[in-house]
This record gives sequence, structure tokens and C-alpha cells, in this order.
Amino acid sequence: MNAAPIDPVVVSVIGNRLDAITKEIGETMLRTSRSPIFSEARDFVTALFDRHCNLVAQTHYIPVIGGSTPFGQRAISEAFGDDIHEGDVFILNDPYHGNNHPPDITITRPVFWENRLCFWAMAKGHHADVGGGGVVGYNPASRDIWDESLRLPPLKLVDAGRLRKDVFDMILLNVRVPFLVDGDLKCQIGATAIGERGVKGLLQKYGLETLDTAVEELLKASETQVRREIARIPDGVYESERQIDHDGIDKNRMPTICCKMTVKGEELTFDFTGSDDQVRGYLNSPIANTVGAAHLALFACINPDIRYNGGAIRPVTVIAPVGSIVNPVAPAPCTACTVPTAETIVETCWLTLAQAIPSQTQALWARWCAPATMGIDPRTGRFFADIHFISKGGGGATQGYDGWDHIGTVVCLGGLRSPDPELHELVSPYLLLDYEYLPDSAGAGQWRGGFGVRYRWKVLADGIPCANFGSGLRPETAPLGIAGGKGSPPYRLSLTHPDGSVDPVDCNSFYTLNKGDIFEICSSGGGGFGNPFDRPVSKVMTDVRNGLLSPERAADYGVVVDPKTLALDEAATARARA
Amino acid sequence: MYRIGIDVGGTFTDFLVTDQSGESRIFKSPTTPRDPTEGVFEGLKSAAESYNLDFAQFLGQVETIVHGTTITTNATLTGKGAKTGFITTQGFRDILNMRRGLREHQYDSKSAPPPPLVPRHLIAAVHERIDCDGNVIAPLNEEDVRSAARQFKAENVEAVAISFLWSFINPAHERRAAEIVREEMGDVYLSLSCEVLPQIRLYERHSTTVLNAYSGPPLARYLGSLEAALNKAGFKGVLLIMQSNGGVMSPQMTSRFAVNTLLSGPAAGPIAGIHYGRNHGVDNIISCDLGGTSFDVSLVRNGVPVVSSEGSVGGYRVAVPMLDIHTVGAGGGSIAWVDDGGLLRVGPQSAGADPGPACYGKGGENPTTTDADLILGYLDPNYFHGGKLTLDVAAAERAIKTKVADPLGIDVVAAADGIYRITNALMGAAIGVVSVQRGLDPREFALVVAGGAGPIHASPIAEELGIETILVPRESSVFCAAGMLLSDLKHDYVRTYPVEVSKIDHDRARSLCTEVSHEAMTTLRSEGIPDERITLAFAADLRYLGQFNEVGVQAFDGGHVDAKAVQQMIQAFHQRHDSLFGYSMPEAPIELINIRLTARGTTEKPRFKEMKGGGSDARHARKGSRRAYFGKGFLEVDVYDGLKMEPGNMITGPAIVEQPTTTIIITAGYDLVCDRYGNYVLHAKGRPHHEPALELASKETIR
Repeated sequence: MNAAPIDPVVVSVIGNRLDAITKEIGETMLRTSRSPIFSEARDFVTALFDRHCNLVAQTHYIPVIGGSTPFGQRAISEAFGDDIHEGDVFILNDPYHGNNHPPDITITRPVFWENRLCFWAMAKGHHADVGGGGVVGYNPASRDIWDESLRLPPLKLVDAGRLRKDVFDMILLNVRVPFLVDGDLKCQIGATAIGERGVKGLLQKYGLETLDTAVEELLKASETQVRREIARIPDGVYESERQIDHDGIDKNRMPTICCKMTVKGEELTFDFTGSDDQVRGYLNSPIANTVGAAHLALFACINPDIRYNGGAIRPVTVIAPVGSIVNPVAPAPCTACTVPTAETIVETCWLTLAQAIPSQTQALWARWCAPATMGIDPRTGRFFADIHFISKGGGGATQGYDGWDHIGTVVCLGGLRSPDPELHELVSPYLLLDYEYLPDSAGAGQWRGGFGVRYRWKVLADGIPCANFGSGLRPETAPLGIAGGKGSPPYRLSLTHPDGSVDPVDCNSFYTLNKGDIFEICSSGGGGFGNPFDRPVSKVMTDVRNGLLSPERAADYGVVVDPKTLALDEAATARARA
Repeated sequence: MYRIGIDVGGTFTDFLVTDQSGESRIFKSPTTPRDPTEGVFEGLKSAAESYNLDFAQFLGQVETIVHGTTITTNATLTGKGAKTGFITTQGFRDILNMRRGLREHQYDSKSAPPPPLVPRHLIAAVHERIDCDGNVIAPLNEEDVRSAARQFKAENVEAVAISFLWSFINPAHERRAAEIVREEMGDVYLSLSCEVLPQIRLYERHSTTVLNAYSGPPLARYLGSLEAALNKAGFKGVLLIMQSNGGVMSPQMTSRFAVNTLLSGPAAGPIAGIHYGRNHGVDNIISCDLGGTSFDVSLVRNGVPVVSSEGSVGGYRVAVPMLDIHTVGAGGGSIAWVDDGGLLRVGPQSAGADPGPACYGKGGENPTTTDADLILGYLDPNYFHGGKLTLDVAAAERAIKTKVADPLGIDVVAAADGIYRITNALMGAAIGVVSVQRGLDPREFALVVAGGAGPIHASPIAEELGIETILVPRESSVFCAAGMLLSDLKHDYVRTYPVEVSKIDHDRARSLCTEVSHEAMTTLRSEGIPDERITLAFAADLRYLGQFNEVGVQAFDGGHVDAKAVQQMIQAFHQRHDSLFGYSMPEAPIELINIRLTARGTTEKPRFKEMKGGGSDARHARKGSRRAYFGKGFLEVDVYDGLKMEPGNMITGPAIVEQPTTTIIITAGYDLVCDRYGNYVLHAKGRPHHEPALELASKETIR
């Protein structure tokens, strides 16, 4: 397309405004949603697309969902073709129709100007329930997509300004917590209306032609920036692979993902050929999720100021063989793809990038293993449904900076907000016993990883279904350090009953929680960067003094500490580091 | 008798002195960061001189000083607060420093969180536990508290914060722990969460309580020494301190609740804005203040500034109510640059005061907004700060050419215009945040503009947003000091009472209202406010059952709780939800979370003096003309001396009005009128308007 020349200043102004509109959509989601998964944890994204379904602007609280949005937008646009009208709102959750995983319901609204479809406003996020046999969408026993969820292909939820009560009621009839889903779907519909209002303001001011040209310029600017970043990466072919504990069905088999990164000039390809075939359990990653994870991995290692849009991703190619764990065919189950599978994809990408541009790459973050629980709170008679985000682990270190504590998972890059412990106790029948940093969990390095946490809570009700999902419980899946940095120990989980008996807890498994049970999660920290012996002794001693590094583990840094007085033995340290 | 507003800013301390006749005088002294008292005294001394009084005589005639301070803000931002110890519930030692596990700039891996206010070895997690109903599950282990206090003492801790889980439901453990700390540590600065912020949400409560401890001792020391020095020098009047919520408080209360002063200076802005708006019968205003590094904007609706408890300072969460002042990094010193995608950007990096913009000639090589303003003819190189500083046009040109014009392949003027427009767009976006994002149409508001450079940018911004009226106070450059003189005593209280509205126990709600009103009355009386000057405004935070965030609405007028009051509150909530978020759910059950009280003690306000009227002709004030950039090119426009303008004088844009510290650019879309107090009003052309200066002269509107 040969656009008319445009004032570069107008382009910047429009770019800032488009970014602001996606924030306005997000603010509405945050302020009005019901499920704590939206409002407390911010497990959602908001986006604007042009009429060709190019991503124009985005606020990515959860980046891995962000990368998947164009697939869903395209699917809706193609499914309805000419039958898209002002005042319509569309819904989608089926991964085999462009969505990433079923609990993340896509809601998108066309923006019309002078009777023409011009833009789309989207709000997409993780619902408290989508039917199926899972808990908050997670069903570790699922063997196909129907075990996981009600499947919604692209559908009209609002028809020319009128809510389709038939469709809406059908959805609410198929979920366990209609009260939460009702409120949150309406919040998404309202949020896209806020987006529509913002875009119409821009159209009124600049007209469609100028806006179109500005958008193309914005996409080009991002593309140029990404090309320059890639050009700085040494050309070559880099390979890596990582594993996942198991898929919930075949508990003795560890699925493997392989990544081959090819950098040539200004273009970069992540090729996942060689990864395992699609698995029987819910780890399969639909293409939208795979592409989202790969993009996240790259964009976390380059200039953070680049606008992530349809232009930024043009120089990046993702190859994922059909029928593999990274591009499954229906009806493979796939709900867990956004956590363990996406984390593993990011890890493989980073391990290739660490060979090419180590100083820009981060050590691996803690994977995330957490239960989803739901039920009726006997104290109030109300439904509750929640994901235990409190178990988030530590972030990986990078050159010059320690990893951030309790910031995981990597697929959120620090955008996932930990719930408030008091609100958590108020809406769920739980009493929190421990929620603090886990000493010795940070991977050693010249820059160390962030700390994981110890999270322990007591159950105050009987018969609560609990789906424990995730990975990172085995040495093979614990976070690695890079550039000489060390890894962190794997997760440890247990369930202690009132009689004192203790059950081990595995990932991707169901449990039933009863009154008096105590659930404990010790999460991993992040991996370290660089040789731990190069870390200044004073910084090591700060962690010792703060009770976060034991004298035994201080030895990983070549620092010798008296276990009784916690005093530094300078002479012995000098010898150890020599 | 005199009243004085004192605003200690980053570079200058501003003074506005008013006398009984309403005449006001402006003074400025350089801020003395090490001991701000020095700067304050220097300014007061020049004021005394200007009134031909000796210092003690002058101070003896000052009845009120209202003071905005940056002590707590600076201590927080520079990490120079008190050495603080923190006592919290066992098992939850790191909630404070976890900061809810967020990284604000997610893709920026080369960054670190703000340094902890309290290092982990000074956080004592003691054995105790209260549940969500206020029941004691584990009694307070007093020995744990005692040994923590002893450790703190040995470590020379100056301030202790205490915040336990659910203490806002049952504060017994916090209070007992405080007694023990007192026994062990004597008069250490103590900050209890059940006093500072008795409200649900643990991290937010911790952070606010700890910030109070962290910033309390330096503030208490400063206020103590300032009060002593003033009294010694002959001051017999009342000293009041500006709070972040837009009200004032006695130094004693302020010292206990230091966290309430984190926005002490800028909070006076909207208060001043309300005053200037009222002079023109305008209740809906957007008040903005353009400084060297930042642009502060806030919205006032129906004469009431917007208050928020979502703020943060230096990356630390502050959950007490503060005026909702939105700050963006776009000021006179903001640096313009071209990013590697070839797009022009302005800020957030700033050239600061040193080296400052390139045109200051102090070695700055980066082009800034001020440099662009100079190239475009908006600033007179020989009349900057009334001629105290000569601006280097060549240096500005050089900087813009090399850093912006050449990379973009355009000429210097086009580049300067680009910088000007991007800056305006950033400011316009900030105005959008406080208006459009809250569902309000900026066209229904008047813009009140402060800061020396603010009026250079105001009219194109207003034009872009469709705002028809712009007010530029004559005291624009000491705007906040003026606002301080216009502030009332104000205290906020909160009680958490989570319950479905249909199940509200009216007696319990009423007793919570009574409890906070007693507290408020006692405090205001202790500050010398007679009952007839006290007003109490109750409000409630509500949400649809199951939501996680609340919306505040007025409720329980006069502390009165009955079925009708509850019904009115419910209606107000649906409406507010709809206007904020685009929908409401009239069928859905609603939950009450907090009852709030804002208690106000009305203070005596200065009366600003009216000036003698003149005709509409402004020719006597014309001081010359110069070339300045308007729209598509340079025009030769008239330049007026603001100090010579009289009420009723009118100027048609494009034109320029200059005062020593303020320049007003009037674009072709606006006319300017001088009002009866010597303030300026810009009206969009082509819209019928009265001559407010003349009309208002006949009726008294000052409150």
C-alpha cells in the first residue's frame, strides 16, 4: 500500500492515543470485574485491531495472551465476513477456531465510522469457569477438548446493540459459577464499548484516511526497530530443548520441546520442528499460544520501548509442525498450554538467545505450579473460584540485575498481581499460615535469581475440588542459570491432613481438600547469571543477614560464614574464592 | 494582619502574602534543601522589608501561615527517611517488599524494584493472629515484640511501624504491641496501621503505615524546628501544614500522620483552581501546572476535587486519600529525541535545572521543550525571568538541528514545532486521563493554567480538546502558594464494614459513623476550630457483590443510617458505576466495604483585592511586537506587558502577553480579557461570551 505522506508528529500523537485507549479498556476490566482472576491478578489483555486484523495497540498485562490475540480476531472476522454490523459484539473461546486456550474468553467489538468497519476493540481474559470437567478451566484428567470446556466458535453475543439472551443464557447454563461469568462477560462487553468510544473520538478528529496512514506508519516504525534489533544478533543457527514434568495422563513420560533459532540479517525464525507429537493430556499448545510465547521470549530480550504491534512481528517467523505439541489438531486438550507449555517454549527460545546475545538474555524463571480451587464457602453460602497465584516463584537474573522476587511466571513477565491475602481469606474458606520468601531458593550467580515463596494455607471447608496444574517439580524442569549462573531447586508441594499424615502433591493432578488440611507450596526461585564467585561479598552477606541465604548455601558463592554468629570469615572466603 | 502561603518547591520557595485589604504580594527565595527553614526565613525577611517592617514586627502581624512541604516526598524519593523497624504477623514477613509481585515495565529486564524501605533484618514477624471476623486465633506473643524492640533499639532504629493482619477489624494486638515498644524504646516514632489506615488490603496498609514511619521523624524534626524558630522570631499566629488531600492540618497532627503530606505541594493546585474558577462562576475545572520536569493535572467537578486512594510515590504504594493529581514527565526541561524507528519523542528524560535546556547556555546539548518554545518565538531571549537570564538562541538551534531536525530530515523550525506539538499532545493526553478516562468530557471544563511555562502551551491544548475557557491567574507562578491560603482543615477517616447492603445492621453502621465523627470533632476542636465551622461529609465504598474494586459515593448524610439512606446510596452507586464504566447492573446485589468520613474545618480566607477597571482597549500595555510561529508559519504579533493590563482590557489572538515569570501565548482561536483581580481569561473566538471582568465587578462571588 502506498500511503499518502503524513506529518510524523500526527503519527506520534495517534500512537500515544491508541495506547491510551487500550489502557482505558483495561482500567474498566480491572475496576469492574468480579472474578479475582481479572481484578486482582489482572489475567487479561486488551487490544485494538485495524479492519485487516492487524494488531494496532495493546496493553498486555499477561503477555502470552497478548501474542495470541490476532489469531482470534482473524477467526471472528473471517467467520462473519459481511455479517458484521455496528453494535455487534463477538465471543470466542475455542482453540481450534483461533483462540489460545478455552478459559481465556475473547470478546471483540467492531468500530464503525461512516457505515464502514474500521477497527476492532478487544478485551480477553481468563474466566472463573468455562464448563467441562475442570476447576477454573483446568482439568488434568482431560483427554479431549470436550473434557475441558464448553466450546464457543465465533459467535455473536450482541446483535446490533441487543444482547443475544439465547446465547448468553446458554453460556451461563453451562458454567458452575454463572454469577461470576455473568458479571465478567458484561464487564468485557462494557470495556470494549469504552474502546469503541475512544477510537471514534480519533476518527472524528482525524478521519479514516489519516488514521489508516498513521497506523501503517506506526506498524512500519515498529518493524524497523525490530529489524535493527535482530540485525545486531549474530547470524547463525542455535538449538535447545526443554521438558515438562508430565501431561496428567501419561505420568511417566516427560514431553520435550525443541527449538532451533535461525538468525539471518534482519530476520529471525524460531522453528519447533522435532518437538514431541501432540500428547494425550492438556499440555498441547495451539498455534496462537505457541506464537504468543515465542514472541514474548524475543521481545523480552530487545529494546523494551518498541511498540508490540502487527508491524513488530513481521520480521519474526514461527514454525510449528501440525500435529505436534506446539500445533495440535482437534480435539487435543490444551488448557494448561498457557502455563507449563508456554513457559517451556519461552525457555527454549531464551536458551537459544543466551548462546547468541547472553548479555541481553535472562536466566530461566521459576515455572509456576499452583492449584485452582472452587466451591461453596460454607461461611457465606457463596460460590468462590480462584487460582492460587500466591505461589508465584522468582524471576531469572540478567547481566547487571538480580532477578525479581516472587514475580513469576515468565509468561506474565511480572504483570500478574499477587492477590491480597485478606481479600483471599474473605472470599474463600481458607486461613493463610505462611506467605513469605523461601530462603535459599534464589539461583546463585554474579547476579542472583529472585526468591520464590513458601505458601501454606489451612482449608476451612469440606470437599473442595482442587486441580493442581503446572510443572517444575523435577530436577529436569527446575530453572537453569545462564552464563555460569546456577539454577534453583524444584518446587516442593505437600498436603498435610489433620491426623498428621502427609500426602505428596504432584502437578497436573486432582485432589479433594477437606477441613483442617494444610496445603504447602515451596516455589522455585529464578536462575542466576554469571559466576557466583564474582558476586561482591557484601551483597552475599546482605542476603545472609536478611535470613534469605543460609551459611551452607553461601558456600555456593565462595563465601564462608560462621553458622552460629553469621559472621563472615574473610580469610576463608578469600581462600575459597581464590 | 497578614496571611502567608509558603510552597517549598524543588528550585524556589514561593510566597504569597495577603493583607487585610486583599492586596497580595509575591516573593521567591531559593530553596535550601539541607534545611528548608533557611529559605523560608529568607523569603519572610524579604516580605518584611517590602512592607517596611522589621522582622519581628512583621511576624507579629502574621495571623496564619499555611505551609506546603516536600520534606516527606524528598525523604521517600531519595531514600533518606528514618531508619525504620517494622513489626508484622509471623508468616507474612515479606508482604511489604514483595510489592504484590509486580514489575511495572514488564519487558524491561534491565531494571530493579525500588529499594526496600525496611531491610528484611529489621522486619520482625511476631507470633499473633486474628481472623477475618476479628477473632483471636493466636494471642500476641509479647516476648516476640519485646525482643524485636530491643533489637531495633540496639540497631538505632528511629521509627517503628506496626501492621498486623485484620487489625482494622480488631486492633487489640497492634495497640498492645505499641505499648511494649514504648516501654522498650521510649519516645520512638510509632506508626500503627489501625490509626494510619484501618482498611482492608494488607500490602497497601503495610506500605502506607511504613511510609508514615519512614517519613515521620524528618518531618516532625523539621516542623518542630520551624515552629520554634518562628515563635522565637515573634510569630504568634497559627501555622498549618498542607496535606495531600487538599486540606490543611496542625503541625502536631501532621507530625503523627506524615504520610498525608507526600503530595503537600501540588495538592494546593486544584484548591487554587477552584478559587479562580469560582471568580468566573465556573465549578468544573481542569487545573494544570507545568514545571521544569513534570506536568501535574487534576480535575475538579462541581467545585470538588477528585480524591483517590490509588496513589504511589517513588514506586511505594500510598493508600490514604490524596487529590487525584496525574503527573506526566513532560515539562520545560523534557528532552526531545528521535527513536530508532524514526519517530519523534519528548521526555521522559529531562535536562533538569542543571545543565538545563540548551538555551540556558550551561552546557546542555539536548534539545528541550523550552528550546523549542524559544525557536518558535514564544519566549523572548532577553526577557526570561524578567530578563534575569539571557537565552542562547544559537545553542537551542544547534541542539534541535543535530538531535531532531537532521535525523528527521526536516528544518529546525519544523522540528521545533514538532517538539511543541508532541509536548502539547502529551499534556493533552494527561488531561484525557483525568477526564475522558473517567467518562467526563473535557469540553465541559475550564482549564486553569499554572507554572511559568504553562500558558505557553495552554491555548493549543485547549483548542485541540475543544475547551472554550482558559484561566491564567496573575499569580500563576506561585499558584500553589495561593492555593494553600485557600485550603480548609481536612481529615479523612475510614472504617471497613464488609456486608451486603440488604443486610446492613443500621445500628452498627450508625455507631461507626458516630465513632469517626467523634474522632473528627475532637481533632478539629483541638486544632481550634469552633463547631459551627465544622462540616462532616460521609461516604461509602460499594461494589457489586463479587467485584474486587469499590466505587465511592456520598452516603449517610449527617451520619444518619436508615432504610431510606441505604436506598439513596444504592441509587447513587448504580449511576456512578454507569458513568464511570459504561454499564450498571440494577438487578445485582451490592456490597458495602468501607464507610468514610471527610471532616472539614473552614478557615478564614484572604480576600483578594479588586483592581480598578479600565476599558477594553489594551493598547497602553503594548510593549512591542515579535515574530512567533502560529499554525503554519511565523507571524509578527503584538506583545503586551501583563503588569500594565487593567480589568476589561481585551486582546485578540494571535498575540503574546508577558509577565516577568509567565508568558501567555494567545493563538488565533482565542481572545484574552483581564478580569477584575488582574487574572487573565481566554475565550474561544466565535462563541458568545460576556465580559466577566465587568459583569462580575457588580456582584460578590468570593467565598
